[in-house]
Amino acid sequence: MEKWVTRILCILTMAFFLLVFLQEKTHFVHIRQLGGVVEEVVYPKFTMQSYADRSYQNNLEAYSKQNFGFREWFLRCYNQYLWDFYGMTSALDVSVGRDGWLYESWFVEDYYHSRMYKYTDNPEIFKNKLRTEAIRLYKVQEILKEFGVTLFVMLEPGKDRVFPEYLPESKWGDEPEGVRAADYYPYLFDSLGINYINFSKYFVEQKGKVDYLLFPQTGTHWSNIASLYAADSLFKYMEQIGNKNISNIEIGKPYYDTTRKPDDDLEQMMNLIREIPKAPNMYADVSVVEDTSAVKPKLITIGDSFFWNIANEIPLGSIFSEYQYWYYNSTVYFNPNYSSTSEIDLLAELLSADYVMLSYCTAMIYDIGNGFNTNALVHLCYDDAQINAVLGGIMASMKNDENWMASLYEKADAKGVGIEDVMREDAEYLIFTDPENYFEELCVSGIPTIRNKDMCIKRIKEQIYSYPVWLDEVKRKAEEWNVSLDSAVTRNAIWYYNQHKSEQ
Amino acid sequence: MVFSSNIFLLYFLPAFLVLYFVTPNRFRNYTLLLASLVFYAYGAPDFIIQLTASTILNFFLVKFMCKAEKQSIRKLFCGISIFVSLGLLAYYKYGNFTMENINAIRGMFGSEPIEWIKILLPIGISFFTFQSITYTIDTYRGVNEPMRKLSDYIVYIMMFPQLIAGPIVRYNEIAGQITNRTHSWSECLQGFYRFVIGLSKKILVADVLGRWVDVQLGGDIALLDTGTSWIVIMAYTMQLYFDFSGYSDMAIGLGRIMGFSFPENFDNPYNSASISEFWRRWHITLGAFMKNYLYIPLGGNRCSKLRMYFNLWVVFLLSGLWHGASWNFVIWGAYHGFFLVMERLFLGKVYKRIGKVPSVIITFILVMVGWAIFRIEDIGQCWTFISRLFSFDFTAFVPLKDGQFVATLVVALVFSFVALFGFGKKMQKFVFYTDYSGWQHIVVWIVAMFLLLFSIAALNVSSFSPFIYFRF
Repeated sequence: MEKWVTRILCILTMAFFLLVFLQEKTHFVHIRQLGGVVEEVVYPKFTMQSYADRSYQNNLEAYSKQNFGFREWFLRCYNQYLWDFYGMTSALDVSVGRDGWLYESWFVEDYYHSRMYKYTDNPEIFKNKLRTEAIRLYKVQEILKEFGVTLFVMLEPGKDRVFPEYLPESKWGDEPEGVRAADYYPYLFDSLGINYINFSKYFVEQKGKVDYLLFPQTGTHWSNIASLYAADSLFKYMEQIGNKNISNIEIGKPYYDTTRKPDDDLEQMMNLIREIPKAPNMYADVSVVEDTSAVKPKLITIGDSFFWNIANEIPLGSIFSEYQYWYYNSTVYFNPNYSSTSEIDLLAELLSADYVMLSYCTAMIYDIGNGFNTNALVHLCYDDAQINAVLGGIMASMKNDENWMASLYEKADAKGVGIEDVMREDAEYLIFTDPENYFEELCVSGIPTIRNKDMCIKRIKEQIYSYPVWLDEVKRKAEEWNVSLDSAVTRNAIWYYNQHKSEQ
Repeated sequence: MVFSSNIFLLYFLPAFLVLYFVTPNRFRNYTLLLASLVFYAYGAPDFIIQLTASTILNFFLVKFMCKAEKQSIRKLFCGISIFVSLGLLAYYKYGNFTMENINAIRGMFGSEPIEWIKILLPIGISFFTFQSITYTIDTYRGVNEPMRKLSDYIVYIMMFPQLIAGPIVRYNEIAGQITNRTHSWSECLQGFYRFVIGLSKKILVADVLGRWVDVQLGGDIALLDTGTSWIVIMAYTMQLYFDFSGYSDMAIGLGRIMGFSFPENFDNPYNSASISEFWRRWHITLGAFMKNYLYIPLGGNRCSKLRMYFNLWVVFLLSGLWHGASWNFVIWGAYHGFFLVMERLFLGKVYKRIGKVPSVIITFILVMVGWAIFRIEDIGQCWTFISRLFSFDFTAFVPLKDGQFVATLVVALVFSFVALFGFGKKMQKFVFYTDYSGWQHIVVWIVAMFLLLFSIAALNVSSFSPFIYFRF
């Protein structure tokens, strides 16, 4: 018997490896996909260079880890073991709180310690940093106002502030608490006059007064239903500050239901076999109220993932003529022409918008705008030629500095790009991180008087086209000069700009 | 390539085993040779040529040595062979260390440092060198005939199961098996079980403990309280044992699948009642090498007491240096050498008087303190840590909340000390040295498969850390 048993067991062992291999190649067993998103590892290309520097081997291992057969089962089983035996999770950014409540780790950090320490240990330096950013934002708000664009901030709530009783224990011990951006920014917004709606404060006030959970037990964002009520308040706020009549939404009667996406987004990231037991939350249906007198403005949202709840649950297309979502000021959603903010014509998009909303939660507002504020400020005040001149100056300084150039060459080598590209990239980083160091007019305490010439001329051209009397006059001139109408409009716009630039 | 990687576990190993067993018996060494070259070339592309070239050179040096009739010529070839092996080790492993120290001395006298290009350490060179030396010396001493075929010699030196981390297989222990060994289904399965035990020790115990230890030692050591410091060093003590012995188990298991019988490398080392006993149970093949090829040639015990103490110290200083090229390893070697001498002077008698259990506890504490020197490379930091161990400051102690770590540490301690008891010894004998019946095979196979699946899951789970949404 023993001989047969050992033979069969050896064959079964090899069969196990074969099955794993076949599943990887053919996916012959249909398996529930893992939750969460990861950066996909592509199958590495073998070259002598990649082999010699071991990048091929490392990437092949990474590829295998992402693609080996029955991976989903392996990982779910292990995660379930961690959860059942130790109440732990392997999902890096998930913190397990009390009674099976889950939090994203940066909210826990912000609650107990503040995320200020990512930037500095000194509260005063940090406050100055926030003040500088708020002043930039105020300048952008005021300049955009001149062009009929309303900028405002939506401060989204943090689960840590609304449900602190379920937070895991602090791991920061006696370390001092730092300044929290979500507490300091409202003070700055009030003192500077920046438009904002504070859902962080509002949610804390509403806790216990509503039947539904403001935050789901196993999710990180505001609950599905809470985001609907927040959106209702948001649209009313937009009507008020933009002085526009916007369509309202109607929220149906809340009802209990099993958890829906994304209310369990953190749990999904944990990739368990079984669901975490939790009380059902409430949901509601939403519709847009028909209003023929309402306008359909254009909205640009720059911010974190909280806006996804609103964008996914509410038919925004019935309320806005256009709505774009510049996710962390990087990826562009709901704009068929662009996928990244680096591709867009910033001024054209901003000036054609009615509302620009910076939408950040308490843990993410530390980087409010993610570079939008400085980028917009520079482009609103300076045309490309002026910006290029400053960039050229910085690049010339780089060339005169041996050490700087050495580090740039290293960077270019590492990235596999030309030295000019790296120099330009670094120069752009410098001017868009601290524009006040490079553009004198931005240092003034009030609103800068300088405006982007191209933007002004474009605006004047639009005005000429929209005023029939003015346009008739330009048409006459076009005939007189024997040029096209657009050429004559441009000439007139430039002339008008030069005559009035001191007033700009 | 390391054993605890997907590429090895899921692709290389199954493919190799299929190839190996479909190859006719007399050609299997060629399959093993090819697989070993691929194995090493995959992980260390920069060194495969040097390694292979030096192996071939050594083969012919020993061949010439054996053909020479004059003793002086034989001695010369033997010397050249050892010089080449040790030369490679000295260059690759100690080149950086030597230059750093030369520059430190030059700095003390105000001289400019000498510029040099940092030398990368070829993986497994320490084991490779020692095996080459055993071949040369065993052949020189006439213990064994030299290999006839170059391919067999390369198999002995570069066989992938033990090339990276041992055990150090002395030539005379394996010479016969290279050219003539048997294979059986039962041995294959027993080898597979041993491999899985090793893999589990590495992934399910050592890596879990290691992650926690790294976090603790990555912070400010001076802020650690005494309780936490002891838990840290105990966890590291377990991590090191389960990692190293796990790797040896995997190597022994793989060898067994292929019909080899590699020597055991660990024998419940933390059950030792003295440092001398610890070194007979910890990294046994290194101890045996040092004894046979260094301690005895230096004079061993057959000399004056003073000379014997000196020999012991030299052996342990070099043992320390063999583990790594930095001063903490030298100090660690000296630390063990010191206690070995003390045991011969008086401590051994004290152990006998106080009995087995207190001696095991004292030895375990001494070993743990030694591992602190081994783990913390910076001498100042190391001293701070050892001071924390004995500061008796428990004010900042925070109870452990990481359930997985606590459970793993407890499991590790239980398995480390279980052989102190009769039932534990029986259990180990059953697991490692029993020829299973058919039913026993079925039960053990199910357990082994469970451990294998669990280890693969644990190996991969840390690499999957998703986001809710893509940030960019």
